[in-house]
Parts: sequence; structure tokens; C-alpha cells
Amino acid sequence: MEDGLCELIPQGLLNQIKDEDMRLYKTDGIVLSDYELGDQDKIITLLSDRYGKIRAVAKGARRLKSRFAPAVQMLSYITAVLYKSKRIEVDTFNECKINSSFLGIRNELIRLAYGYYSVELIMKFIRGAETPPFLFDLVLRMLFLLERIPKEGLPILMRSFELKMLTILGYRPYLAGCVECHSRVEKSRQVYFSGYEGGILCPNCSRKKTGELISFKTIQWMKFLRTISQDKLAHLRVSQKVREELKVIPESYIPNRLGEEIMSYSFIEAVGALEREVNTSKKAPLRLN
Amino acid sequence: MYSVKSIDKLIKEFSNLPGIGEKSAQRLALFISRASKEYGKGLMEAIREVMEKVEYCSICGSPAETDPCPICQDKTRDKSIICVVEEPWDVFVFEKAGKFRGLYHVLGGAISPTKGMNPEDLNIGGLLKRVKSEKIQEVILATDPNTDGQATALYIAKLLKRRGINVTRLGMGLPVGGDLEFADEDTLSHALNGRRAM
Repeated sequence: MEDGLCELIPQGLLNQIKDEDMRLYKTDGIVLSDYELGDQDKIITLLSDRYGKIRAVAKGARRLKSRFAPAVQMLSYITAVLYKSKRIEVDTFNECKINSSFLGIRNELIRLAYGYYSVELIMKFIRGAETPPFLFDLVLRMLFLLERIPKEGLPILMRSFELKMLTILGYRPYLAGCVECHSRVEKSRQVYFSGYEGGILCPNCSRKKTGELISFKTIQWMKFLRTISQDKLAHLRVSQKVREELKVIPESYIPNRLGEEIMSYSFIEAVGALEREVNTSKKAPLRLN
Repeated sequence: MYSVKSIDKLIKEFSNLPGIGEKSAQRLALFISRASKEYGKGLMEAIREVMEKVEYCSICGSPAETDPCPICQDKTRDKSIICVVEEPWDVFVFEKAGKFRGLYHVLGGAISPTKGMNPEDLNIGGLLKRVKSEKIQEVILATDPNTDGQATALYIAKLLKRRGINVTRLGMGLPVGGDLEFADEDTLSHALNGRRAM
């Protein structure tokens, strides 16, 4: 700041501006990952409400009595005061307050598996230093619902989250017609979905391009799930066939957009299979790896 | 460019160690180059001994100089309880405290799907075999009190509970010497659930 300008500004305001020069800033955030740093510290990745993904050091967070340790757990919703480093791209935690730990997610394996999946999705899709509008609220609402809606509703909650997030980020699948020839897809005709091409294919184009046969109803559900209010998701009744067909989004569409798999998706499948096994046969033989 | 081949070789070896970068490796190598001959010999001997003698117990996965390890061989220990830990050094922490007289099982990590660690990457199969073949009555899940540790505990508990085995988790709550004022919602909730009569 120029010296002449400093003389004109009251001392209180000057201190405040100097604080900003020190680059202390406050943000709400959701903890996406934590990595151990040395014997005592952790590097945390946050999805902040405004500044995109932030990486910051939580000093002493590996110690049992650390004031940061409970707050910087994956999935925690926190308000943090961070010190922005001028030299490196990693900031430092100064203060931290937990708004919600999402205990309901942490205490149930299947909810936790979906939590891991959603965090990995965000980690891989968000790259810039700004959080796209509405994304933070979308993630937060999804986590609050993940904590409390009945377990049967979790796959639909996640499909809706995926479609809404893809829409916000500009990656939404093309569902208005054939992605190749743009012809309208009619209810009576067969519909194919291609994750690689990025949307639906008509029967003619599906001969040249690879696509999976899905029902017209599933396409309608995709359109519906990306626009419906998240609060209404818990009450939806979706057939098993549509649920299975909607899996083209995480299994084909998203990996094709990202160019890589979402590693934690297989964990959801593994936990789902284990829960079904436990529920169907209480005295089944031991499952060995 | 001037360099000393033997020091460069040592720097290269040190920089392969976990958590050691190029600069730290340089510092360590220069320290050793300046250290006394006795210190150097002692260090070499210590590394040689570890490489030759230490193996991992085929039953519990702890590091030891015998297989099975002394803990698994000890007839005075309570063989009906297994304490499941993430890493080998967790066994040393329990043993240092000297309060646990059962057996151990080292998983070799924790479930962390976002970091590519899935249940099949851990020694869960070995635990299930032990539970099936030995007369185990209680399994204590002593995984770390964080999200990955919780996921691991929930997964193993789900596998074991249907076998009628008593599955417990280490108590979580306020740390000894801590200040209640700084306790968070999660910690207080665990502390309240784990309260006991006085």
C-alpha cells in the first residue's frame, strides 16, 4: 500500500487492511481428504464455499489432543480461518469450528461408502480455484440427506447428485435426442446410452457407435433427477430395472468424462453385496478374501 | 560438476525411505560422513540385523524375530481375545502400555477407497480364518479413531457379528488431560455414550 494513502486512513481500518495483507481469510468448507505430513501434521483438502479446492496444513492434527484433529476428518462441514501463504500453494489452518461431523454417515457402512464416493467425485471434477455457483449448497444438502434418508433411497440420491453436479459443471449428458444425428428419440423406439459419446443414441447410430440398451423410462428419470428438488428424493419410488439402468452414469458416463475410474464406486458395490448377504442368510459361511 | 560418488550413492538410498526427500537425504548422508567410525559400524550392524532377523508373524502379522511371534507363542496370554490393529507399530504401543493380555492381528492399513485401499488389500481374510479356526470369543477393533479407521471397523464388524462373536471397538471420548471446553460434537457424543458408573 502506498505511504501517502496510509496517512489518510484511520488506524483501525489500516490494521484491518494489514490483516488482509497478512492473508487471513475465513471460509466454510467440507473436508475432502487428509494426508499425513510428518509425525504431527496433516495436509487437508477442502471444498470451500467460494474458493474451490483448498489445500491447507493442519499443524498437530495427528496428535490425539489436537484442537484440529476432530474437525479435519473427511466429510466434516467446518468453518475455518486460514492463513494464505504467499510462497506456496498450501495454506495453514489458524482456527477451525465444526458445523456438522455427519455422524449419521460415519456410523453406517453403506452411508460411509457413498460418502467416500461423493468426495472422490468432487475431488476429481473440481480443479479450479473457484467453486461454481450452487455447487457447495448441492454437496452440503446431499450430505445432510445422506445422513438421514432411508437406505433404499441412497442410490437414487447419488444418481440425482451426479446428474445435478454434472449439469452445474457443464458436463450433463445429452438427453434431448440422439447425440450423433440429433434425431428425436421416441418412446416406441429402442434407446441406447453411450458414456463415451456423452448421451443417448438412436438405433441407427448405435450400430456404428457402442451404446447400452436402456429403457425410455430411464431417460425420463435422468431428466427428472437432475431437476427435482433434493428434499423430495426420499419419497421417490423407482423400479429395480430403472435403478440398474441408471448405473450407466457412474459406470460409464462419469469415467468417460473424467478419463479415469472412480475408485470408491467398487466399495459401494462391495458393501451393498455384503449387506445383502448379511440380511439374507444370518448363518452363512465366513466370507474369505 | 564435483561430487563424491559414495555420498551420492548414500543420498540415493536415503531418498528412497518414506518421508525423506532429496534435501533430508543429503543432510543424513553428510551427517554420517562426519560421524565416528563406531557410530557408522553400529548403524550398519543394526540395519544388517533387522534385514536378517526380522520377519512378519504368519499368524498375526506383527514384526518379530521368530515365526510365530513370541506373543502368538505365549501360552499365558488370553487366546480368546484378538485386538485388531492397522499397523505393526500399534502392537508396540499396546505392549508398551502393558494392559492387554490377549492376541493381536495386524491388518496392514485401513480401508480408504479414495486412496485405493479396499478390503481385499488388507489382511482381513487372515482374521476370518483365525476366528474360524481358533476359539475366539471377542474381537477388539482398535483401528484409528478417524474416518478410514471407522470404515474398517464397520466393515469387519459386519463380517464378524453374524458369526456370533462379540465385536467391540476401543472407547472413544475425551483425552486424558484434555479440556472439555475444546471438545467437539463427535468427541462429546462418544464420551456420553461411553460414560460409566462411579
